[in-house]
Amino acid sequence: MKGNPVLGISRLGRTVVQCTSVAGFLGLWEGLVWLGLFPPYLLPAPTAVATTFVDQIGNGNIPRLLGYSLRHYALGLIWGVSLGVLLGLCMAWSRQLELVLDPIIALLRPIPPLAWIPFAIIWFGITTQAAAFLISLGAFYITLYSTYGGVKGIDWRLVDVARTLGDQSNWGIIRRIVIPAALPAILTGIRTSLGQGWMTVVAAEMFGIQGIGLKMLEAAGLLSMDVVMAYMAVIGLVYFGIDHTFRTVEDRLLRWR
Amino acid sequence: MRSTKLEVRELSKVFRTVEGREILALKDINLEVLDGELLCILGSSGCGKSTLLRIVAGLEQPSAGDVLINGRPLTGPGPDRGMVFQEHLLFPWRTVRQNVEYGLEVKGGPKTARAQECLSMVGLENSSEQYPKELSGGMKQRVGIARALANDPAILLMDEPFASVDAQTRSDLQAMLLTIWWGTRKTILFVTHSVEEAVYLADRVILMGSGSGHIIDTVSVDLPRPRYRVSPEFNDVRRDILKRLGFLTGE
Repeated sequence: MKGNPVLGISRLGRTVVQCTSVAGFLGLWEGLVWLGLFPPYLLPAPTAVATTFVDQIGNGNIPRLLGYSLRHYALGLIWGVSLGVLLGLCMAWSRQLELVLDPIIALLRPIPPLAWIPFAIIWFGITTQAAAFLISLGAFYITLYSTYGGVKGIDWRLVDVARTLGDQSNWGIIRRIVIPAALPAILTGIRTSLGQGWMTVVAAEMFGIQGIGLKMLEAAGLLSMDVVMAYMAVIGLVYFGIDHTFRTVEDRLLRWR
Repeated sequence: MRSTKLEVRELSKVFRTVEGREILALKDINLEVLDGELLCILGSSGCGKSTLLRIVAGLEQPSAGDVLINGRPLTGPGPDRGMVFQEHLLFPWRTVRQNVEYGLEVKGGPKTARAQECLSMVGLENSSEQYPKELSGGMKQRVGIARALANDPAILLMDEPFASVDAQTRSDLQAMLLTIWWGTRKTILFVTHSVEEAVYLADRVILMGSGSGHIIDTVSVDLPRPRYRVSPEFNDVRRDILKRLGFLTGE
């Protein structure tokens, strides 16, 4: 039987409780604003946020700004993840490279991506490249270490098996054994990067690069908190979609587990 | 007169521990295996039998001595020797068919028909699209055998392949192996710690002493096949081998 064994309620019953809970939360919030306990510039009502959300879609702001942000996000992730996976593989494969690179990465890693903002602006200006650079940093470290750990942890006896089956070249072994064996760890790293990168997008744009982050900062300057909250909803919804899609892809790729 | 397929000459293997101590795993091994022979290497754990097999597979380098195949010295692992491992070691991300296709994929060229052929030999033609996690222990070993056979190696190296399955499955697998051996006439080196298994399968049994890393005796098993594990003749050979291994000193 599905359901919570402690409370003894069915799946349907649980869904009803969950919906009621969310509705109650929104109702309470709406009520507090309606009673005048909070002025709208401190806490906008859910209905006001919903109206603004629809308006912002209608006037094209959400699609346009989301487009900018997704561009920063995608570029940063592509660079960060590719370099991270590549270097992680190389470091786990070659002891020499591991010895040379490990101390450098250990030195740079503790610096959070956002601490690089001044340099990003000096090097790239207020541009897409600057935002992508900051996003790529986080993704790079995360995928580097997850790939490195994943490769180090594979069952190396499988490499022996491959060699007895005639697979002699390093590239053959990497392609046919090391990458698929380390794929679960690599994908976990990429999924973590997706979350970290999305946070960095918002923060990076607040330094003047066109996108959702900058729009929120501008709206907050005008005390249009309903606009700020509408964009917060966009951020949450988009990330929910991204994470859900990635999990589906991950489950499909790892259905052998 | 059958020709010599595999020859091991004055082979020794020394392992060095982390503390720098030297452990002699194999000492002065001399061995000749005929073409099409089924040879069992029998010994308790730690006698060096698996190390010997890994050296013949090309996965380990000998410290001294030579391994010759068709008279030519060994240079490393190759598709002319297929290996079956005790812990099946299937590639978990590949389906049964893709596991068997591995060697053919490396070589290039057609693979699906040959893979199906090998899966039929082990009786798994209907499980080709399953993943290893969905298989029982015995089925996994069958896939391991089919995977080793796909390259059509002249020599099959088997490292205690049936040691971790139940007794019923084990005797099924042993019978299946003999059928495959009859059908393909491959040279088989079969490592085991079970006297019964060795007597059931082998043309000849090499006895290795426990912890000594050298061959203490060789026994030819001249029983006709199929062999019956409970026949008096079968038991005579068993008793003889146990005696030579030093287990029946009381009798």
